[in-house]
Amino acid sequence: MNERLLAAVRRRFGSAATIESVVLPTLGGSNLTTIFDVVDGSSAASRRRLVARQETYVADNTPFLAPDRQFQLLLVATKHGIPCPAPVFQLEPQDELGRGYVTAFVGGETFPKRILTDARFAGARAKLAEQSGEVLARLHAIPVTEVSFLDAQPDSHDPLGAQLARLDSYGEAHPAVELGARWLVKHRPKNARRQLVHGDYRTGNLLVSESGLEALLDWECAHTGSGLEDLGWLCTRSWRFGQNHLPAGGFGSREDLFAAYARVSGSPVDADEVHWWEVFGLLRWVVLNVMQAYGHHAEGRRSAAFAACGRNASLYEYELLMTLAKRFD
Amino acid sequence: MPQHRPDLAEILRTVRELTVELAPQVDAKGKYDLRVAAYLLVMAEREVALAPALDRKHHAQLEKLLGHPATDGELSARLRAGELDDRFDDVLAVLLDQVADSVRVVKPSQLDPIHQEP
Repeated sequence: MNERLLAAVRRRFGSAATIESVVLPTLGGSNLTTIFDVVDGSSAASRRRLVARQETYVADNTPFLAPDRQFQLLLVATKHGIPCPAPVFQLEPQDELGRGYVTAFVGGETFPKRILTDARFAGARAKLAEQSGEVLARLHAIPVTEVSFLDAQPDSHDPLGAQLARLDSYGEAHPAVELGARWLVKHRPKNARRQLVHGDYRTGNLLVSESGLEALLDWECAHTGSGLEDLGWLCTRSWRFGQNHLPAGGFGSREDLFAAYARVSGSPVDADEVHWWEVFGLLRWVVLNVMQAYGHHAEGRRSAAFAACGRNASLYEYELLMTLAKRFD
Repeated sequence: MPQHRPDLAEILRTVRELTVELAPQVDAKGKYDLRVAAYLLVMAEREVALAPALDRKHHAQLEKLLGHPATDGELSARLRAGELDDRFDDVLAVLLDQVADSVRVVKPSQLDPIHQEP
């Protein structure tokens, strides 16, 4: 693997380039991530820390954006000054590393428990809701004409239908999801906004330093639709990691998030619509866990953690139904 | 067919105890994997203890809700078709009780106090 990565690097940086300090972080459900330094041999100043992301989830019913489109999206986001890992190069067939791409490495913490409870992140936590509102408002202002390739995502046309179609493809009945879907059908928000939606903006995908938000990671769920989906997903109970008194990602209040978003976007936040997207988010999180278990059970992505996801779907169904019963907020 | 000791519950507990014993001998990735294994095993232990009663209750609840013996598949299809829209609160009460029972097996510490055992 490292020989192929080295060859891929030399195709872009010249035959004198080497790779050093290779780290394989053990995380990520749908990608193999490799962090490494590229040194071109001329000087220590040429050292660049990079990240390779190789697609590991290859299936017809994948909910994820193809890597070449993720790469295009990172180019657009970077152009608009959205903090994200700068795209460097795409993997090509001759690299024999599958589909994927390489970005700059951005330092910081993603591990939710540390961000939400370590004393050294207290200052960052105090800012994250406001920073999230600001960056999401800026993201949602990017003209959708620049990301027309997202039209191919089913989520760009019928987000709930896309979730139910995926659930159907896994062949397991989930009455709690069906009941949640009926609630969503009957309370559908009346808007036709068409904005760039990150799709996975939540604690765990935010790279955070002691001074606050550094970068948005994991763009594979991007699509177009209502930007308020991103606010609702961030407030979905599963991303509070036990800090249930702080609905915005376990670090802040909805009020601070909404106020910053309204200030930058120039229009007030419809709290009822955000709630709709929180309910949608709980349903979607159930479906994503069913997906992982299905991959383990039927598609050869064997993993004890994915097996656990299948059973953990019950935990998120519980949060979904407790929210519908107005016992959880 | 009766088997000699250990019974299924004790086999699961034995393997789970082994994951704890092995943890000091492996690296960080191995420790994580062993924790996942233990998580699955303790869930299986709870399932062995609780499943017979919870299965009976589940089927009885579905029969009462739909008026005949039924499966989760049938309930799901009827919900999707909107046939139970006018009984939303009834269905919610039954499903919340059933899902809470699933959580009792998967990770009971996640239950809200209203669903904790007295």
